[in-house]
Amino acid sequence: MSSKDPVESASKGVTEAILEWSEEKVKQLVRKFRDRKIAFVHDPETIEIAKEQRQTSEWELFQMYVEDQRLHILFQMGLTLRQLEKKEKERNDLRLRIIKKYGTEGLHIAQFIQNGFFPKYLGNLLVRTRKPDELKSEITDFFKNIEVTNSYIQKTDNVEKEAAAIVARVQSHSPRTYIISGSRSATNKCKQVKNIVMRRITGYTEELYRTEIKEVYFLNKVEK
Amino acid sequence: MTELISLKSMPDNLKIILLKELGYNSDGIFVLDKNGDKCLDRYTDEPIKISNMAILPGSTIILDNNPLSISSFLEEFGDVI
Repeated sequence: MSSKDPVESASKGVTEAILEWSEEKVKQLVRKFRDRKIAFVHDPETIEIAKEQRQTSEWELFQMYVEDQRLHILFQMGLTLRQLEKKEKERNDLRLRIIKKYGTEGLHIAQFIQNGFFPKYLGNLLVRTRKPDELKSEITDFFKNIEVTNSYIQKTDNVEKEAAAIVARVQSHSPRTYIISGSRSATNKCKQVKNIVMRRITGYTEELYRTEIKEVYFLNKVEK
Repeated sequence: MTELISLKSMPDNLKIILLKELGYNSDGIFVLDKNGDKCLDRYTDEPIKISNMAILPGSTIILDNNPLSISSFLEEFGDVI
């Protein structure tokens, strides 16, 4: 049974005290705060979720290869968006915050992580990259240039228009990897786009990763 | 280990006392600094409401209690909470 005394509750590790708030109790808690024993939060779950993300294998892998702090935060945001999959309002609020702070490019990075594409991308890259330093710069560059290295196809997209845009990006930037992905009802459109792109570009091979609801095509530049 | 105290059930008048104890204030809605100006979340630059604040140890950092700000805090200061 949890204590109803907030100070006692804090000392027992209970995160939410319910009753018996008083000025004296607040002052006692402030003393504990100054001793760095407690923190005050509106919703402890937000902190628990943020801390959980920092203990995942994906995060461990990512921070091994990427040092950029902005990308670290966007990676965490991607994992959080995934965790909030069933909480539409919270998820939309977070998407808006990401756009406001980091722009649509930041949101696309977070969504790439949300969709679980990073482990697949890393696996694809590992077999093609021998030097660890090269791998680090490759991954960082990929995320920093995500608008010209990645397309997430949606069911409302125009196939021909998307394909033309991707071909133009591949031809002008010549990325080592270009990713075309889609999920649920957009998987068929995703495949159509990929087919058109592969007919129009040269020097790339394709690799498909498929789950029940997603398809991810890696267009890999042929190494010379 | 730092314990997390939920402010959800704390009455607003006591939240204001809490803020005053820590050198801040409130107009009843927003967190104010010692000059009476609205405190801005250091990561989102948005005014912080007492209805959704997080007060984190160290240099007494007050943030809006949202995932982006909390993760940014953990990225900057490490797992101190």
